[in-house]
Amino acid sequence: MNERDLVIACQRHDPKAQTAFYNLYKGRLLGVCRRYARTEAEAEDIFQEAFIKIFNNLHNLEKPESVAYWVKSSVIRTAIDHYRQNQKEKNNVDYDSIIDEPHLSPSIFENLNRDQVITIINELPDGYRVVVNLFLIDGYSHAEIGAMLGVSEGTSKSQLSRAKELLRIRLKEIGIVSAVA
Amino acid sequence: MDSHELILALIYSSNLNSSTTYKVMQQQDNEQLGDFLREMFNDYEAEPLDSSWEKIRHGIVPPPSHKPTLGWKPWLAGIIVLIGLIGTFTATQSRSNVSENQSVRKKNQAKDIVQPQNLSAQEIAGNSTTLTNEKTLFVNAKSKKLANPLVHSTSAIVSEKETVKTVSLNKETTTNQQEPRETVSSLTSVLVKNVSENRGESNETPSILTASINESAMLSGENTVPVLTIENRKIEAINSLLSKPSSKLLVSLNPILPQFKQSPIEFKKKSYPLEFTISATPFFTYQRQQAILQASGKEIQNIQTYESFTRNRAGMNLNIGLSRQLSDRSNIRIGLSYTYMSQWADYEIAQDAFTLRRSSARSQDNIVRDGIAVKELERIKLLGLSVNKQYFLNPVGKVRYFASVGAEGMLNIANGNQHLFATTSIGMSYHLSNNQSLTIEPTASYDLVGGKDSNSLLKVNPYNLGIKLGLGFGKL
Repeated sequence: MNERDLVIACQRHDPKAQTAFYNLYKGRLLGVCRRYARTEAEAEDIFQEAFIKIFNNLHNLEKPESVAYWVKSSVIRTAIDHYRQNQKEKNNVDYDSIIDEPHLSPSIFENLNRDQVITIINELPDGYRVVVNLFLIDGYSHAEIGAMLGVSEGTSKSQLSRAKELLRIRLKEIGIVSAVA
Repeated sequence: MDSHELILALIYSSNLNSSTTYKVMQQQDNEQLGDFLREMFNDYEAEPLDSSWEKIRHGIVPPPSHKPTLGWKPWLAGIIVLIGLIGTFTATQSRSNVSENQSVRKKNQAKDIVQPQNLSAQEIAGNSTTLTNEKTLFVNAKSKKLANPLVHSTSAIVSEKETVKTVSLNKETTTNQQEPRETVSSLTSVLVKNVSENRGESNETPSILTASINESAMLSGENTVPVLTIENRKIEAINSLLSKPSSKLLVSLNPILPQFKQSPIEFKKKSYPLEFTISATPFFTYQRQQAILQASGKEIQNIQTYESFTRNRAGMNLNIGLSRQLSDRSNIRIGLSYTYMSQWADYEIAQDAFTLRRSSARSQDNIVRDGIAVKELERIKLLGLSVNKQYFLNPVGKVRYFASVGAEGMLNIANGNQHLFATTSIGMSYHLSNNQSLTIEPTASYDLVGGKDSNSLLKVNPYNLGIKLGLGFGKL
């Protein structure tokens, strides 16, 4: 059974197809959730909530062949919803303290493995983490990010800039920046 | 670090003031960083918890079952059933009266109406013609005036000219009501007219070639007389019947009515009324719950329940039906019902993990098995058919106390699941007037079949406790 048939079977609420569908996408989608969430527990929550939405709205998917993009978008939207719910937790980062720091070079990540990088991303404040994920990894434009988050395009850009600065600080804390520099 | 990155790093570190150069570098920076991160996380996968799928599965909204729209068909079916019930009871009531009539007639025959006389075959076989119309005869006669014109008019019915299709032969007593008497009077006039025509003014020979006899019920009082009807059973009649007293006619009919004499007839003293009833029963639902282990393969723990009186337990049963009195002390009630009630599940699916918890009260550590909480609450709508029997105590003024037992079959409108409730109640019936009564009835019902209308892993047998408020209207 290919993905298209699987989707059609899921749209008929076939329990076996739903299980297969879950097994097919669970790893990838939880990977996305891990990037957007602060903790593994939060990632699990987003993951479960997103999957429930996916199954409950799968009948609205008109083009089964685009299911991979659709499910990923669903997960990202769910993660953003979580971000909005958690916006009360404002980060208290002293941005002035990092303004004069040298800029982050991308090459420093090459010395890190994936778990270290994701740990660093997870530790970013919510807004920054979401923008880094949306812009740098998932390829959304600042205009799109602004629409998704309900902020201006400029805000998205500035958040990305500051997010990179914070990444540098985190890397410096674990000694990577200094080693590279 | 390649040369390009080295240059970028140098540019960054030199803190150049050129904004254009900065934007270019920032863009390149983003692209490089983005490429790097995308490549790193392109195939990034993580393994969810084992319990995730269970939670997700429970969160999936069940498919919109093929159902259910409560369109015209269920209502049509309900109306048909209701009409059937009314018809059945009406027919039953009619049969009861027939039995009564037969009994009375038998008694009266022996007393004063039927005086057997010899009637020769020739007399019976005289000039005969054919009755083209199927005729039913009802003739009334006062018990103390056997030879009155009305009785003579019995003969007129065999006239081929007469057009009366229904004539009744009744013995009217002094206690009979006015209406049958009027009917008799009108019929009498017609018949007498026909008799006179046949006797003197017509040369034709009235007789019967083909007719039929049976009986029908038209009587309402205890002293009312039997009814004879004639339809589709061959008899011979003769012209001389016209001039003979009614008793002879009756004698002539007796040989072809052996069943009246031979069959034992059960006599009922009373005919019992039929009431149309409507009722509403607000109730609270409680559940007997058990885990469906075989189906789920999961281990259920910590099955919770609501407090005794919460809104989630509230439900309502609406019923329309008929109540038929069977005897002085019993009724049978049949009705169609609509029920709105709750079904819920609140439990944990046990996990293979344990948590050490310290009890503050006892300063003691407890090992608690972890579980995934599942909470479900579903409102279900049921259509049902109820039957129950009431047993009455002696009336106290306008009040009668009773107890009832019965059953109510129900169908879940949403998914077709079937339920069978055993019902019991005690109550009181207050007669507001001759044709209206009010019933207050604490009721309990228990679902014998049980099952589950939700996705939960629990099988439930709901039982409802409520108070039924009903109104009864008139006699049908």
